[in-house]
Amino acid sequence: MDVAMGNPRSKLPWLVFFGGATGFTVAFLMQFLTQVVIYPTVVQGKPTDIYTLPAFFPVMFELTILFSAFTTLFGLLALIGLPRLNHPLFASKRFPKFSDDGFFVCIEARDAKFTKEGTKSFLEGIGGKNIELVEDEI
Amino acid sequence: MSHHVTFQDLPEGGEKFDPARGSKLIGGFAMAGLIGLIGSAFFFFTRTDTFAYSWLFAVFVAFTVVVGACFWILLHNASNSGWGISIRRLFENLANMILVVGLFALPLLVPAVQNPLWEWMAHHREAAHHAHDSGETVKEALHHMAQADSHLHILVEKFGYLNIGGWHVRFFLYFTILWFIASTLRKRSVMQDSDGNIKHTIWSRQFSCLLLFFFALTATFASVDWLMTLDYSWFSTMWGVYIFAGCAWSSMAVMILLVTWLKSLGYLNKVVTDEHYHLMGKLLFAFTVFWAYIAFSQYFLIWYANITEETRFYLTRNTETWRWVSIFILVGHFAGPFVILLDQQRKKKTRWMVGMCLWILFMHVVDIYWNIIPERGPSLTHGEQWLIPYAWIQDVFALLAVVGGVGFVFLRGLGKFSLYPCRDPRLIESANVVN
Repeated sequence: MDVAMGNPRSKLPWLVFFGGATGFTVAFLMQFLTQVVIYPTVVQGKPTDIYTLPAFFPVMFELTILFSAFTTLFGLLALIGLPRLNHPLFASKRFPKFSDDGFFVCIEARDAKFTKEGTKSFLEGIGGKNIELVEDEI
Repeated sequence: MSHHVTFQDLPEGGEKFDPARGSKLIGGFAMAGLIGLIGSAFFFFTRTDTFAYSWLFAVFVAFTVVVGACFWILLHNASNSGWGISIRRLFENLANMILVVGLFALPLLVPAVQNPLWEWMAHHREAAHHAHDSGETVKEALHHMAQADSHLHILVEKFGYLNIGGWHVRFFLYFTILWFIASTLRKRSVMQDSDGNIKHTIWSRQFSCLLLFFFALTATFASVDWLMTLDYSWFSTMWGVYIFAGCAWSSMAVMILLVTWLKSLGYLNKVVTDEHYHLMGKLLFAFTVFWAYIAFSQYFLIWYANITEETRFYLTRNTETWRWVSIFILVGHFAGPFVILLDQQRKKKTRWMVGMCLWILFMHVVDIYWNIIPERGPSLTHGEQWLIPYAWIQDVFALLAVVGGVGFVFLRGLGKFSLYPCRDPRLIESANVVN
């Protein structure tokens, strides 16, 4: 579908990458600062310097995943503009079919090439049957 | 989007590989194998002690790749996947190389090779010798030996598993089970080439679900028997799965290279697309991470617990030259491939993937080398030397012999059957796969 519509690649992976990197860094700093810099803690005879690093890895791993998961979810919601309470398209009676077994083509008024008549005749020209103008209720 | 492939587009009876068309690479493998074999034969007779390690290393590299192929066909059948039908036959052929690997593994049955490799065997043989003189059992004789040398006591404790008879029985079992899996699945798959019956698919699925269990046991215990017992006092519960991760990883890399090579010769072009590269790349990426996860877990457990018997493994590998190899593995085995394979588009670019797979195979060899060879110096010189000077030359010859030999037989045999299961009902699904 993405290829057919000519959609560009989503920016989400970049957000997730930086989200994960943040988690990794936060986990490292949180442990390094508390366990090495501020209050050196000897656990199991392990050194209290950078060589304690292996002990930090589980938390770094977990926080990387946690932050990545959060950025995936919230980044996605932000990119697609959710949550929003209503959308003018819901007013269309045909629209519910879109989430079942039909396709729905929508050309928004903010599209640069949109004109009320021009778009209608264009859609008719390519064989459209059920063309309707949906307007925001407000 | 490309044209939808149907059975009409594909040649009847599938595509048969003509070895003459790939003669360059096949000849290369034959050359390497020949040179390697000559060198290996020389070292086998003149430097048996050091060469035993080289040979185990080389055989194990080939073994891991073949075991990986066995895993992929089992998983593919058991999970009822459709995407990989086009490449399944290649995996089946690769898994069937287990017999050739078994042939190359035969020198490991020679006591003169076993004694320097597995010191426990030398001790057991000595005990058997005493037992023969005094009329006790081998275990009792071992117990007597342990009274003089307390290090040997652990061998008495481990006697139930670690004894020479058991080791040999298991050695043959591993090869028999793997060969049984590989040959049965290929036989079914080839039968389907002529009758196109879905029953073979269903039968293979049931068979694979059952045999996965036994497969897991062979891969795990083979790595325990051959590698872990190089130091009989050392143990790691992560060992089997660690080796397995490398198996699946390297095998997938071999597959991507093989598919690319066959495509460049004009085969498989209708059934294998960029999408397959993407899918195989994803699995490669998954196992990059899986390997790192397991490798780190093993390190982490041993580092944290700090038990004398366990830390020895990492102490050896964190000292002198081996330390740099360890760091190199960390970067080259995990970090590099992880970053490069992360990108979705890159997985569909053949050039990137070929470069990556060659690198991955190299790193896999380094990984196995790093697991086996550090034992050689300390074992043979009783801890006086880390490395045996110039022994690496023997390792190179052994690797050439085994990889060249197995590669040659494998590529020569590719022409025996169609390169893909030509009448598998889901072949079209695989040829048109989109992910």
